[in-house]
Amino acid sequence: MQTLLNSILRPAAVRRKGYNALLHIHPRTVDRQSLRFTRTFCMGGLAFLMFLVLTVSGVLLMFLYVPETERAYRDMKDLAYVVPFGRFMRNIHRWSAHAMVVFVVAHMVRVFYHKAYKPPREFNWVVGVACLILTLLLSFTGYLLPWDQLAYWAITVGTNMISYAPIIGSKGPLSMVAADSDLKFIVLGGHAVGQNALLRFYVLHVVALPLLLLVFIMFHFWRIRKDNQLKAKRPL
Amino acid sequence: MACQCGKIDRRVLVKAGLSSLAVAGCAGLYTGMRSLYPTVLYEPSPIIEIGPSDAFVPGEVKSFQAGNKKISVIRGEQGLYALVRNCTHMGCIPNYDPQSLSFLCPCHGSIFTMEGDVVKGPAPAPLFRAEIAVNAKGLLEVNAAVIENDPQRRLTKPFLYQMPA
Repeated sequence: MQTLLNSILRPAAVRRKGYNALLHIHPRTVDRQSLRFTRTFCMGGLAFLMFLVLTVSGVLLMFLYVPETERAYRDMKDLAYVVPFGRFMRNIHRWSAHAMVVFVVAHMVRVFYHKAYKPPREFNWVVGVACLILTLLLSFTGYLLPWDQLAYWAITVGTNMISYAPIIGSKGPLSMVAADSDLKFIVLGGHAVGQNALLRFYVLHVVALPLLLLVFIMFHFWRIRKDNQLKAKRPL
Repeated sequence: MACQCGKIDRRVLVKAGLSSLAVAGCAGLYTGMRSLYPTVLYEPSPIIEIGPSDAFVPGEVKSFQAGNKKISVIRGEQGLYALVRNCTHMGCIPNYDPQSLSFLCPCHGSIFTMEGDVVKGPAPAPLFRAEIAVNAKGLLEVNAAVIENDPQRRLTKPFLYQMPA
């Protein structure tokens, strides 16, 4: 963690050690094998590209959408029918979101079949799983925002599942909490999907989860260099 | 050479500083989390007045919105009861089907009888019944916050309203 902070705060001092998260993923010398397309299929890179596209298109959408139960659905309709290029922007965001989940899973599958999760890279697999979970949470929280029937019932079903979580869910095994204080209640901010839930999902979707994911992505990239994943085993 | 300016050891100072930061961090975490637990909810009231009891005839299903929940009031053989139409599986709203005299859940296909019992899963338990009683005005009132689905207890007051003879 300290090295990570150093790499961000004091890049010049650690650059020669190759610890800089902001600079090159690739070392000076690269194994010819690792440059081949079939080595990675670019899945991780494409997932990150989708993250960038989603960030830019998401910020644009934030100017045109209010997370309020009376307005959310109409704002979404306005995007489709009133705002110039609104439908294009929303579809960019929507399809990139689908693609990001696909790329992240494909990346994971590729890493699995190449046995790339094995030591010395086992820790980066763990970081990758955190990225996967954050990606899925982003996907889930974004699902509610259009505030249509599909969104409403999907989140009703999804958050009902939360109440079956062990210990902190009111219906789960070893439950220690009542329905009025379990995890589902705090996620929704109430007993049913309503204004509180919409606002909470919005804040998680546009601020909390993307920032957290960005931190994990940087950590993930830095580990690639740290684990010498791409370095030449012999000089070219 | 250690600092001559005070009596406090540098290590002690660092430890005290870090401990204070940890305490402040925990306090901040608690403050933040606590504020996210709502103490006042601006949700619609779960209590709804549904009119006089003689307005309900056998074989008819009347539906009402009581707060967040959809209620279907049914007159059975033993009396009136108010089914809470929230599927016990994942909380979707089963619709009344007059052809098969049952409630069909659109989300995952659970089927319930008019009594609320499960005919077909994945629903794990019968539909709940809400409290139904006569209020001060002499009209029936349903409280969707008080619910029961135990096969025995749901046949007792206040989950079953006996029609006056």
